[in-house]
Amino acid sequence: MDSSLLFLPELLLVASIMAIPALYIATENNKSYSICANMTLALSFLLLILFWFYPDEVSFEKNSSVYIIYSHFKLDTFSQLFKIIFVLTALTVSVLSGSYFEEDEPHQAEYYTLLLSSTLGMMLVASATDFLTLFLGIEISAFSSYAMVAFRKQDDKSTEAGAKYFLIGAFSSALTLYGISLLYALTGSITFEGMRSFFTGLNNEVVSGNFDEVIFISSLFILAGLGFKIAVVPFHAWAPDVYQGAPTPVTTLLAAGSKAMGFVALFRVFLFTMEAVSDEWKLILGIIALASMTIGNLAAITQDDIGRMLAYSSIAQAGYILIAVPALTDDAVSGAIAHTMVHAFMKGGAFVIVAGVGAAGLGYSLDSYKGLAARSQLLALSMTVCLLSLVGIPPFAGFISKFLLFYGTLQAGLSGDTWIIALVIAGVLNSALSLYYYLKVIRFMYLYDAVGSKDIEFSNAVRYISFLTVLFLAIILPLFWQSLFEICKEATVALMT
Amino acid sequence: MIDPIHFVVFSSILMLIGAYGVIRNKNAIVVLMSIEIMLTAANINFVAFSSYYHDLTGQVAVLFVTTIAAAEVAIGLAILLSLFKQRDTIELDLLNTLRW
Repeated sequence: MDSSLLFLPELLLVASIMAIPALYIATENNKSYSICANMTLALSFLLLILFWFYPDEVSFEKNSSVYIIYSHFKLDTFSQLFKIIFVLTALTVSVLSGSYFEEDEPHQAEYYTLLLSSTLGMMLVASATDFLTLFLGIEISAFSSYAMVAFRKQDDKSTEAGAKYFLIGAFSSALTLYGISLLYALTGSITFEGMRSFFTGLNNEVVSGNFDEVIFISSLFILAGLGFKIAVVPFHAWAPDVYQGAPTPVTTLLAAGSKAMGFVALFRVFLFTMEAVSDEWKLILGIIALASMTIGNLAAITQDDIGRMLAYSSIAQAGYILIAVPALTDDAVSGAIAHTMVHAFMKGGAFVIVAGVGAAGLGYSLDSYKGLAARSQLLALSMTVCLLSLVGIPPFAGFISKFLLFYGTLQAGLSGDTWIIALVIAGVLNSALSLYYYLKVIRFMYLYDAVGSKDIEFSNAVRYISFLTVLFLAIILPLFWQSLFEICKEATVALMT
Repeated sequence: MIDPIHFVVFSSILMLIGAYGVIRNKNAIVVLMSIEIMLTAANINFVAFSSYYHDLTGQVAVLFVTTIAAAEVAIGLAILLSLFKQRDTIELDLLNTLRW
């Protein structure tokens, strides 16, 4: 098979990004855009699955990697795994948007175009081999999501959230770019491979000189931009506002897709490129992880808007994932990859329910979840599974990935830096703390009586997606946890060598 | 003779000016302009070290960054315009409907 065919999933998205505006000119039918977006994403998803299992030298099960487009693109297990997650998230969001927006909601053609281009940006980030492609991918995805957050022009909250997201996002991406330019100034190369060999040379004293301060400062700058994407503590202020203000399908994309993209970029930069100089950034990442999980969980307790509560919980989850990065061992990193993926499912699933409840006219406060079980058993069950999975209660998928993450990091701490053990202990304590506010929602759903009428129609899309979420988080992943672990192991090897 | 260090000093001064502008200003348009100054600071590093290493990658990067900056302004002004239509102001202190 010609290896440039492997670019087909992305090319499909590009074609569709151009096709939807053409559809807008040709027809005035709002349904056609959503059908076009759904079909493209489903086809792209099927292609990615096909390439994953294709019995050829490019099969990603056997951990080979292929370079395409003048080696600006690298396709390996790690990148393909996350592309599948991104496309799946976008497909969910696209299906959900079809039922969430009214039939006559204006600007739907723009909305679906932006959704596809945001997904395209995420996929570029997953296979980038140099900082320029990485930065371009991040920006394509970010610009599209700025516009998507502010896309309801008549809604005051949506516009305010968009303005905040844009200003903070543009500031932090300028900081990242400055960090990248400092690294270019130091190493004279912009590819990950070139920088890695420079840093390894520095470590083995092949390259002479003391560049500790420059490396420290540029890693701080880069961390400021990527930390904004994954919403960790000093850079988290936008997350609650945007998650609350944006239309809920967009929030789903940000919480599940955009966050995973941030982690992909972070892993590529810190675990591959700057691995040899880990002494410079280890401690700062540890401090950020600790602050992020503690502040996220403490702030989530007092929230009374479900979007804000889930935003703070997602800040805390980013803190858990980040403890594996200073650990730097294969086991810890594969735990982090597993938790990033499972987090996309749990958070995405929870926000789908939020969108369904909101679209049914029940509102977005915590009180609107009172008596949800009496209204729809399935939605309440799905929300419960997602929330318990976020805490890490045993039978669910969140437990497995969190266990892998904490266990791998603990092993690294026992054999290396002892302060990493403190991070693991803080993570376990924080999980216990987070039980409080998740259980509050579950108590509201099952133990309280519904205010108002019991017969509320939830849309079919929400019901199907929540059924699939339950199936995935409570049955499939817990049963096949070993293959999940093996895939993450393969991805780690692909990432770190 | 101009050493590479002079370029780094110059670009970091520009960077600080830009960051100061973002933090201090209350007008969203001025914040947008300050962000452009920060991107220019990164561009100066790229161009300077591109000629220092005799490597064209840095200059290509600058072309891409300039494009990104233009797109950023376009998106930003569109969002700020729709904010202005609703509130008749783009003072950043007044963005306080969403808060805990």
